[in-house]
Amino acid sequence: MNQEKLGIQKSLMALPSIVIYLTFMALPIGLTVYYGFTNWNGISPTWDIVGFKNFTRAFTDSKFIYSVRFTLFFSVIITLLSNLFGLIFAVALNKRRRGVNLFRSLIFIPLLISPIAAGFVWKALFSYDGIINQFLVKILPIEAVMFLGKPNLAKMILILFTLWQNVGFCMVIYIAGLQTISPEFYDAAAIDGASFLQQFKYIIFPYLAPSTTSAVLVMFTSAMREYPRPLVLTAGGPVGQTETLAFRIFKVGFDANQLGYGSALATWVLLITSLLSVAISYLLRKREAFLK
Amino acid sequence: MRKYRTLLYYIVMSLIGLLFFFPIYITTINAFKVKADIIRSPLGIKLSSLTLDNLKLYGFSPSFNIITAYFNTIVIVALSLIGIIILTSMLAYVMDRTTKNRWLKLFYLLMLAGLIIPPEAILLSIVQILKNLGLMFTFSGLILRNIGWYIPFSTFVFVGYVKTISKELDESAFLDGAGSFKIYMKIIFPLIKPASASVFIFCFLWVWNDFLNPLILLGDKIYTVTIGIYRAIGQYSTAWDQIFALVFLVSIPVLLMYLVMQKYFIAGLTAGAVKG
Repeated sequence: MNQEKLGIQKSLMALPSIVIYLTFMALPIGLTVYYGFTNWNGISPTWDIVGFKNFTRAFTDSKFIYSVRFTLFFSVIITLLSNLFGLIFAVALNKRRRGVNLFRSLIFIPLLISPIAAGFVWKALFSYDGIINQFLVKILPIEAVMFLGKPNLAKMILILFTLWQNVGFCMVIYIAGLQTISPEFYDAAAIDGASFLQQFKYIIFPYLAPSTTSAVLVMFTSAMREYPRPLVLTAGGPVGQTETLAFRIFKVGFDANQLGYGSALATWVLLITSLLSVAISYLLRKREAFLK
Repeated sequence: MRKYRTLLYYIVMSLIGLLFFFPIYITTINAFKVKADIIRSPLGIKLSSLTLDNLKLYGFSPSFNIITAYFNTIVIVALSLIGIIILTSMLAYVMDRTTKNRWLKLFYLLMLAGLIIPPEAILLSIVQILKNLGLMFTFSGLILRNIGWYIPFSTFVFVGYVKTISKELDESAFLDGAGSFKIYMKIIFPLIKPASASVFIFCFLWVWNDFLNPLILLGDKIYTVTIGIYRAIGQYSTAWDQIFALVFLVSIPVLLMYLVMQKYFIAGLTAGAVKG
């Protein structure tokens, strides 16, 4: 292969990004894997290489296993539901008609608020002495509900809260995708007497494939790194039932001063997330093939 | 029949819209009410009892000053964004206009990895690197991390746009004696404004709302809007008046920006997400 030489100017232009990326992305990835093989506590000047001990210890760490299962469950639900509702709203709000812009904005705006700030609002709504309970007690003959104190209810509220912030993103991606579909397709379908469901199945859904790939991947990767929402809403509780992977890594790595073991957990998370993302992206991109 | 369907459509969409807007409505009106009023009627508005007291009391307390929080966040967002946009648009130009360099190809693959890894997985190591560079608990440390983190996303968005600019443009400039840097400055950068807008909007939102990285990398002394309210309110607070006032204060700049730039906002978001 003939190697093309970069001129001095071009090299100087590319260099800052490359140096920063290598220092703050590539190096940390390498270090995380390396620390995983050590018994370092993060403070002392020396450490030993302990082999795969940290990596195998993860399999018997019931808290870590739980956080993997919970985060996967959470990510799958969030990915499916945000895309489902995002798609429904996009189809409903695609046509230009009166009020559509207002509806789009109302669904989109929650995305702009920081998950931390929004978390406090949801907590004020669903706490034991929160606003929803004050309301329920007033109008119904029941006692206040422990929304955030019961594991299943707390998970449900966390999912609703996350959807509230994510659906708008999917909706916008799908609206952009819908606008690339030529109106001729719909006209042809209408002439053939296709029902709306048939149009959806044979035109809308297949032609939205590139949007689906983007929206699914963004939702999945962002749900796998979820931290601020459960932190504020439930603090990982009740009894650790809403602890995500990020919770585990920090509790072990920073709070318990086990940087070696924390890094091994982080490496597992890195592997799981990367493999799943690559697999999802591969499967979804296959659906796009017919467009080319 | 058609009439009823239209009516049904508007009823359903209004209900959904109201549902999405409900938490924002609650926050906005209760930011201007005293605690007793919030508890008595969280939904109601009584104009005569609206007050700025909560905003003043909680926005300017000894432990949290909203002006400091805005200032710190704006410095971090602005410097991160300037770095990201300038550096990655240059990189994207070099990458797209250099097709046969194996180091650049290798770097391209390395960047793909950066798109899928979760930030929490490398944060422990970033702390160690910043400690060694003497940049832990500084603005610079966080800003450099932000730039590094968004390099893949932003470079891919820019490469998508640079591709659409005809190579003949820069070749003719080259024949006129312009160097690569001049071609980038005078021709490429002005033509990729939509990509810059896209990167700007995404990264603005992400950096402004980021919690994890500033929490760990800035330490106890410096706070951004998200860290500031997290510490001021605390995990077990039930001071609803404080919560609504502070959430209102930290969210208002982003909401105002959205209202002003609404058109660019959605266009920028979708262009970025579909190309990236």
